[in-house]
Amino acid sequence: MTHQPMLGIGIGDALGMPFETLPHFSSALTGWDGQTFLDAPTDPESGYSHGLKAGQWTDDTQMSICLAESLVACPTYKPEDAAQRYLAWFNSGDARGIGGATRRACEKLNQGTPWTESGTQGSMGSGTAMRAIPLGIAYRNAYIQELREAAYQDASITHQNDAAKEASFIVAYVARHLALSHIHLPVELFASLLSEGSRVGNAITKAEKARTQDDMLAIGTGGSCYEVVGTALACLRTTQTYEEAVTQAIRLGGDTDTRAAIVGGWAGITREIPEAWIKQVERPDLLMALDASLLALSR
Amino acid sequence: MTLDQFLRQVTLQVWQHGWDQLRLVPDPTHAHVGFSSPTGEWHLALDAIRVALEEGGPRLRAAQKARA
Repeated sequence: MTHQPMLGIGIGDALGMPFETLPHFSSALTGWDGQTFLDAPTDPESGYSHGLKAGQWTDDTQMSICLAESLVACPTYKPEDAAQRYLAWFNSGDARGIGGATRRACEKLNQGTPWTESGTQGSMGSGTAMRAIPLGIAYRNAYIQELREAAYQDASITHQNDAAKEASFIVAYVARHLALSHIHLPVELFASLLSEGSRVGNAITKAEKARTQDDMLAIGTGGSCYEVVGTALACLRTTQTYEEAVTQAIRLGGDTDTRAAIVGGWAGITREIPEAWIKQVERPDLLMALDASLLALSR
Repeated sequence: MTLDQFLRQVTLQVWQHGWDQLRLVPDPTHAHVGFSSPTGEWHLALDAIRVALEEGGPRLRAAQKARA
C-alpha cells in the first residue's frame, strides 16, 4: 500500500530516534542491522530523546500529527488553529525531543503572544521542515503560491527565518509532487522555486549530484534545516525502496530522526512500507487514519 | 564512558550552544579549527576528536576520564 506519508514519517522517526547526535562512524550506527527499532539511551546528556523506548516516535511525528489534525479540521490552513495545537502538545507533558527554537516559541504562545510574533528570530533549525509534509498532501491540488503561503505561515509560528520557511515549503512541495504521482524528482525545478542564494537551494542542488555517502556527508548532517532537507532529498533520489531510503538517511548520522522522518514521509507516498515495521511502530492506527483523512482532502 | 557516549555529549553541547561554548574538549584545535558554524561540517570535527582520542591525545583522554 502506498500514500502513507504519516505512517512513513512515524517509522522513519522511530528508527532514527536512538541514533540522533551520533556521527556516521559511531559504533552504534556501524553496528546497527538496518532493521531493528532500538531504545534511546537513558542518560539525559546523551540526546534529545533520552528514555524513549523502541518504536516510539519523537517531536517530528508529534508535530506532523498536530498539523495533519489541524488540516483535517480546517482544510484551508489556519495558523491560529495550528499554533493552538502546537501549544497543546507543548503543554501535554509528552513533548518529546523538542528543539530550542520551538520551545521558546511555545513559551511565548503560552504567555499570550500571537502566532505572528511567536517564532524564534533567526533560527535555522529543522523544526519547521520536519512537520511540513501534511501540508503538501492537503494542498496537492492547490496553486503552488497557496502552498508556499501556508508553509511560510506555519514555519513562522516557531521559526522566524527565511531558510526555515523555505525548507518547510520545499519539504511540502516535494510531498505534493510525489502525491501527484510524479516519481521523477526534478531538483532544478525545486531549486527554481527558492530565492537566489538560498541555503536550502544550494543544499538541494548538491543533493542532485550526490551519489555516495561521502557526497551526502558533504551536504552536512547537523540539525540545520538546509542540511536536513539536502541530505533527505539525496537519500530519496539514490534509493528505490522505502527501506533503503530510511536506512540510508539514518546511516548518515547526525539529525537521524528528523532526516529519516522526512525521507520516510516522502517515500511513504510512493513506496511500500515493510509490514514488519508497521507492526513495531507506535500507534500505526492513528497514523494510517490521518493518512486516509489527508488523502480525502483536496484543496 | 564509551566513545559513542562521549561523542553524543559533544554533539549535544555543540548543537545547543555552539563550538565556542564546548567544555568537553579542552583542546580546541582538535575540534574547532576551520569550522565556521555551529553545525557546519560537524561530523568532520567529531572525527578529529575521535582520531585524537584514539591516538592518545593526553588532554582529550583526561577530559574523557574526567567525564566518566
